[in-house]
Amino acid sequence: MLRGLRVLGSGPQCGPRVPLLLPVRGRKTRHDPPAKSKIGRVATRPAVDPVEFFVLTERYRHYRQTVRALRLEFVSEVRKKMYEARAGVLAERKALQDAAEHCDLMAWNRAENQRLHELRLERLRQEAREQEQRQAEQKARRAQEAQAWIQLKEQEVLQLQEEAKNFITRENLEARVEEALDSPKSYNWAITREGLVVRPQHKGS
Amino acid sequence: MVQLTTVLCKAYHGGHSPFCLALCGYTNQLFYYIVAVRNRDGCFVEQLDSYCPLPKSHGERVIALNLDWIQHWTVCGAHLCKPVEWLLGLSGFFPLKESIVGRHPYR
Repeated sequence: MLRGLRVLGSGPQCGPRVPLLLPVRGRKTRHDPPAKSKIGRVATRPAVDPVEFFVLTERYRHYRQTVRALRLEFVSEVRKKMYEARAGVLAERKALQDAAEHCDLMAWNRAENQRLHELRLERLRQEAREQEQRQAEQKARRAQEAQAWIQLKEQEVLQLQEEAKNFITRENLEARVEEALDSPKSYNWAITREGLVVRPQHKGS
Repeated sequence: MVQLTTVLCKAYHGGHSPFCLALCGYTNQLFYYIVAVRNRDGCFVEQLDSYCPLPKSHGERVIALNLDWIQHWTVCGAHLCKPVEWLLGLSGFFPLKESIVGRHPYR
């Protein structure tokens, strides 16, 4: 097989170095025909010593027998381990321990649930009490506001009644007109934007 | 350890998953894993935890074997290839291969 590039470094290096590709498989490539001297050649296998062959086969047989026995031994060990893990003494003990632990945990869980339930009930009662208190306060405040509103309206009504005594009606229209004409008060004045009152300078206008 | 190739060393054992040496390591620094594979030429290397650096370090060669898993895979029907047979024979877990064919020709 070609081993890749081999750069020939022999000789003086004149000019650029050109790498050559050389096969290193042997003298012939795979496509060359065999030589004429090899025409009748029959390749024979090396001779086997029957005694050595017998000894070797026996040893191999013994080895493989031993390995097979080891394999079967491992299989039986693994099966025993699996059985022990599934139904042995240790497995039963572990199952009992697990059951006891489960019972303990369930009891603890029930106690915890009970405690939390009581806490929850207490909290709900507290919230109900606060709610009632808030509602009562709200009711009192609303009543107070209503009462204040009523008083305010009563005051307005009384004030209006008082003012109504000075109203001008058809009965006292003439009397009020005469009174306004006879009064010395003059409405003949003006007011500027700045708030200054401007009165006429001369009388009789 | 970067696994450069999983060129497996030895003969094909028909059918079951054999134990083989998988070559890893760097240039001029060999390192082998003993693996259980499904197919010799497949890239699918199942698993095994034992590894074996063959070159000498401090004058001896160190092998680490996970005997529990070797036993497990033997029960599952794994065969051994020849280098692994040698190594396990030397370790004492399996019968000695030296007793059959004599000393290893390369060592």
